[in-house]
Amino acid sequence: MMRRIPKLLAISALLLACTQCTITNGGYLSDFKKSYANVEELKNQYPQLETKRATPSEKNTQLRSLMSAAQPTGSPYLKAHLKNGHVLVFTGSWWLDEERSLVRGSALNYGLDRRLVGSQDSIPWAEVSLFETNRPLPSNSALRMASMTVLFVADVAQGIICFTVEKACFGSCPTFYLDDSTDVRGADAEGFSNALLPSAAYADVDYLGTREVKNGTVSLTVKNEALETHVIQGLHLHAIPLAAGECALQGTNKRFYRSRQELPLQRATAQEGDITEWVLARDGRERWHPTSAENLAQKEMLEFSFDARQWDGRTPLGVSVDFRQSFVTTFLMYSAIGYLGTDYAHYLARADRSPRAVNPLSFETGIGRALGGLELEYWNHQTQEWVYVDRFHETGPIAINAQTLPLPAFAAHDGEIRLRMRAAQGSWRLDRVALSVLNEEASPILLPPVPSVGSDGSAPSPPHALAQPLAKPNAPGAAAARVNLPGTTYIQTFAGDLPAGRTALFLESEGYYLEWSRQSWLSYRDLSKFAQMVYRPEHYLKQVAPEFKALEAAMEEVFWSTKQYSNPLNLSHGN
Amino acid sequence: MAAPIFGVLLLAVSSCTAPLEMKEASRLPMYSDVQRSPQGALAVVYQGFGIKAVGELIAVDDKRVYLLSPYSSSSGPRTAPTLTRIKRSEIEKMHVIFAQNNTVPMRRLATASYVSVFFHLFSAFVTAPVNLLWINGTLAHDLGEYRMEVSVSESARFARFPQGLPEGLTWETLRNQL
Repeated sequence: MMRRIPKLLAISALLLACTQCTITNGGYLSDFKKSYANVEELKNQYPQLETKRATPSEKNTQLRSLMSAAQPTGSPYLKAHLKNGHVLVFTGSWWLDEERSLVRGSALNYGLDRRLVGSQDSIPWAEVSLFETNRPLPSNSALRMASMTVLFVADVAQGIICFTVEKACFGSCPTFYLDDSTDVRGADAEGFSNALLPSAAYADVDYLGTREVKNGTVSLTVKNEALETHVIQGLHLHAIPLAAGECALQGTNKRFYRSRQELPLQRATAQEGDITEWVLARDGRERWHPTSAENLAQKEMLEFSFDARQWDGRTPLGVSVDFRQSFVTTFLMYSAIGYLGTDYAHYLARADRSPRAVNPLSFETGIGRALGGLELEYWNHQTQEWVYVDRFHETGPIAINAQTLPLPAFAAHDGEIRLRMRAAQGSWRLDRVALSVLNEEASPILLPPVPSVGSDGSAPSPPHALAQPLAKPNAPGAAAARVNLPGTTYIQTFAGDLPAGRTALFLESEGYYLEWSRQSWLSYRDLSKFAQMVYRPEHYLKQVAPEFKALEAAMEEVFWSTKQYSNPLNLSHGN
Repeated sequence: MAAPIFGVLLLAVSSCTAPLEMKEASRLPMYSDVQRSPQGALAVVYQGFGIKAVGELIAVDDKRVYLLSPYSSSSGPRTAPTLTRIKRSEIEKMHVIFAQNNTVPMRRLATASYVSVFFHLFSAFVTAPVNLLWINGTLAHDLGEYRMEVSVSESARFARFPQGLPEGLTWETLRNQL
């Protein structure tokens, strides 16, 4: 819907412009009313006008219903403005009686004040000072009606989608923006998406981008754009100053690397064919394929071929992938909350207390494991087999993650390196896949936060909260955490001993969030399905596949259109 | 965020303050009936400096334009009318509104659209302002009117007496008979 809004507005504006132009310019209205000073003028204008020299017979009398088509004046009516100020409106058949110099027909006589005086069936030409015809007016509301209909149809469609695809409502975890843009599609990072409980809090590192840094300070916009409570226990920046031609990479092994060479991608293929152009560059054009209607866990295979002729064969390599999740996980998470119904809060509390409680979306045990990550393999030419390396995994459909998976030492064959990625079909979006030479490990400079400032310049709350060092979950330091309710936006500045120049920035955020249930989700309560999610995730993913498939196309539109722009607390009760 | 909200509020408020002629135009005949209406069109005479006169166009002669206000339909109740003369030389421009459209279906659609926004849940944050702008944009201006800008001379054919004041009638005698 969000994407369609500009188009809908443009269409509406066009319709309105057409409507207004037509009306104010009078275009089709200018010849609506015509006047004739006398009968001769009327006859001259319409030579084919029916006249009668004798008393009209039945044959010559036109029925009114026929006249609109047959009347040469284009009007079934004739107005005769009399010299005394009265007006006769001939509403039925009328004709000119040349023998007696009369206009004959059935007419209504209106007085000076335009009150109805009576009716009469003829008027001498001599008493008429002006004849007038009016052609039928077309309705001028057609365009407006079209405009209103377009809006109404869009409104109804949106209502239907919102009521049937509630699970698509926006959920995001904290979002962070490095530049001026605060469009959620351009979020540079989303923090700790897997931390659904206080006990599940963890530190998440996300690549923000490369910027020119001055004065050793960097500012981020922090937002809560979902119906969630965000508890940020720690926030730091890791900065890596870069030399010319150098880039910094974040390894899946929690290390950072400097890279000065990238091996060219020769070809990338997937089930739909060549996808090279989709994954060649970090350009926001993402490769994604719809899910299977039979099984959300159905896997697909993507193959990549790199030109390794310029690689020295010794320096370690890493596969750099820019990716994010689709809405499959979002849907599943909201489904889980819905299945728990009114037990959701109770379950959360119990799960938080008990380390044995099962997280249905856990990457280790639940549906997360069944769906899997982006599992990477390389082709070992010597053994003629694919060798599993490791997997990429990061929860969240908003910000694009840029991570690098170091490859074990192996040799290229014929100047070519072949890689393969196995992933749940429709669960992942790939923006870029590259093979980077990891020239050396990098040691980032830590930039701690300075007291944050609200958008109105207000003091931070709680003061200096994020100046605390990264806290362990539930450790005393967590008490100083910043709690952000829906609609919260503020600027967080980081400062440190950082040289000016081009710098790669990585955000480390630590904390957890509490997803809000919605009143309407309670109707989805089904503990047996929740049990299936937990204990038979493979079976559940097959069962729910058709339901998701039916919503898949609409999910993205709905998801982006339901982000929270301001504090929605007042509305939450109604939903 | 403040600017769009202010814009929406401004638009909403502006749509509530209908121009003078809007009320009178609601007494005009429907576009399908105007062919047999014995009355003159509703004239909006702009005299500069924001001054405008609104009323039924009675007649136009060499020197003046005659307006009767308020506009009353020939069949409906009438309040005591006032006949006004305006010198042609004082007229900056003129609009004639000679029929109105049936706006009921449009208003029903607008109402239905507004109601449907309540079912948009959280996306109403986006759709409510869009609806407000869209509906106001569609309905607020010249709603259903058949309106034309005309010269004073051209306006004569839209008058109650397109031939000019009836013979033997002066302004003084006419004002007692309308």
